Amino acid sequence: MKNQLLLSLKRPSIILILLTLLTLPLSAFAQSTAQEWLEAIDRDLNPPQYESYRKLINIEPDGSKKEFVLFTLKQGREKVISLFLSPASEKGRATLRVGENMWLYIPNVGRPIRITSLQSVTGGVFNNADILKVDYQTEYDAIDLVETQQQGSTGKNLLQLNLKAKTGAVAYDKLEMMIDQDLKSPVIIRAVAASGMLIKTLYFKNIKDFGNGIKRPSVVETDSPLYQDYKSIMIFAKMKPRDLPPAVFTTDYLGRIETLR
Amino acid sequence: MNNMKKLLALSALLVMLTSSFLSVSLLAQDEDLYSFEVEEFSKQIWEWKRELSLSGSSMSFNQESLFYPFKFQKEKETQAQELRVQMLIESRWDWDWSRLYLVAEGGRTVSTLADANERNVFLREGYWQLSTLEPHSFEVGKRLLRWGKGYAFNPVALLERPKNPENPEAGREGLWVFQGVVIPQAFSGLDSNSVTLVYLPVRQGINDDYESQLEQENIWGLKLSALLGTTDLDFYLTRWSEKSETDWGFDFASNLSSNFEVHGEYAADQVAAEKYGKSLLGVRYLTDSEITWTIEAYRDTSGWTKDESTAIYQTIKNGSASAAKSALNKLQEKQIINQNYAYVKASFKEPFSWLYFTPSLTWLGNLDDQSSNVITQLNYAPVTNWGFQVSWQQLSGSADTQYGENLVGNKLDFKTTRSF
Repeated sequence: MKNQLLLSLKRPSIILILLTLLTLPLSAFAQSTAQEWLEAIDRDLNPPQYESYRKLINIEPDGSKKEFVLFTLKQGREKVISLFLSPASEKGRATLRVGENMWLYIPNVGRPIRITSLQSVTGGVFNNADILKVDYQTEYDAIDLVETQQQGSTGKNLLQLNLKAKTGAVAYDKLEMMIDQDLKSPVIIRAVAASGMLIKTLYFKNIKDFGNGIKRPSVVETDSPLYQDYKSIMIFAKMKPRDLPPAVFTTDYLGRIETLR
Repeated sequence: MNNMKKLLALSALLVMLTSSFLSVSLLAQDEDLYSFEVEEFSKQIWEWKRELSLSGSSMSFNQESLFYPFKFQKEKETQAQELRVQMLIESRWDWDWSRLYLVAEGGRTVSTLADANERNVFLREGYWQLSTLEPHSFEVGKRLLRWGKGYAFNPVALLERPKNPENPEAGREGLWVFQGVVIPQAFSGLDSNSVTLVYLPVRQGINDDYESQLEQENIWGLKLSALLGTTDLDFYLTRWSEKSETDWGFDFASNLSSNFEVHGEYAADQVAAEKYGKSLLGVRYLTDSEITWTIEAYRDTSGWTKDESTAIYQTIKNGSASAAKSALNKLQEKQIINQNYAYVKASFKEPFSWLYFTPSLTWLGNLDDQSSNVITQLNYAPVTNWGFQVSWQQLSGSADTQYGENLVGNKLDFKTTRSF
């Protein structure tokens, strides 16, 4: 009888504890602050270590196109490698980014040369910082989070996450990130210069489940008032986790990246 | 006459190639913008890339040049035209345990000067690489080491054929070497680092054109590389066993901001009992208007002073036949004539919103004798895998100066490249 009483007294407590434990992971990943949203966006857009294939398309005002295919490897928050697979004129070129450092390896030149984030190895609207994208947290601080009146795909209002560059070496001084709360993904990012001038707008489209828990937009489009009527598109494919030794993300290894496909 | 026919035929071919890119551009499809057939890019054991180029040049000779009477002893030519067709093949085999890389070049030059007609086929690079040691590597074969951070000049390129600052990106032939690269994990506060050991033998038939005055030599090279924060650092050491000579050097490169890079090199070079210092300081700066400035200053104490080079030029012009010949040989053997040079290149990306069009202006100046070499270049790559280039080179300087005495006074070049 005593045991039954104890059990009946304990049962609600056990249920409460179980419910608490069950909801804990959800509450741990629920975002309420600007910093938490920034971390969540990074987690979804850029898994800690992965490989992927990307197609970059530069579209001119007359509709003519130029396409590039890249094989990309990423490790941690700030190491990215991209290898050009196509077109033939670019095949074998590789770019490496480690934090603020960027190098370009051209087979004919045969050694990595330092490049800057504002240059573009492909031409078009995407610059090197866009092509060799590292985690937003690496380069930006979350400033504030505002709920807008603009509705997302599921009817909820979009959030605007404002980011400020940590240093002057970052390609854009400010980012205005419009976030779909249900998709937990940016829909639009506006890149703004220190002068307040809009440099470019990035549009995130076509959410895709790549498997292994990777679900993110598979298309990023961009346009810029600096390049009237030009557009660039980046399409992601075969994104999957891949663990590699840190030595791969060094300039000495750049000439051998194609062997890792 | 025969050469002229060939020139005309090749010109017609060039026109056909040039016009064909227009039709290629019209084939741009607009079916499904977001489609991406990624499987066609899966890795193959054997992959290769070819580049076919057709180039032509027209040059005017400087009749005041001290080289002119030696070059044109009978017929006094004032200009020449050349056409060249060239094929470059890059190939890689990647097996489970090793890889083989080949870069070969073949070409045919037709010129209005009989002695400039040539056919050539040669191996730029060809080496075998053991891949079971990844991320470390061991290689053996013909390899271009490409040490240094400079664009036009590389003082620390202690084990390679010299680079031509007039065309720093031109393909060069490698040397037969054994090379081992070790990439340790993070070490003593450095973000990344590596150790490279090179052995370069000189024997009859092996690297004997690199050091033609030597019958036998064993050259060892060591390169230590590190990334420290935002700065690349390299240290180099070479040891010539038979000559008992040791050279060393270092270089650095760093991004000071998102549009500003700085680099430098220094090498202490020993030749017999003489010791020379070679140094380079350079920057690369991207302006808001998308102009990339590459500026380098180079000093090499193995070069002649202005007075020394003037004396050489005067001896060739006014000395006895034997003295002139001796001075001419000295001049031709000299890899770098004077001690101080500057290189400035302004490359304007897509001006006036003209996509894929990049004009550039390069000034290569001999600071000792005040002569200069100016290259204006227009690059246009409007269609995938096609490239077009037109360049104009103008050399100028007074008598007894490097570029003022150059045999070619000016040169117009065009080049069409197709990659596939």
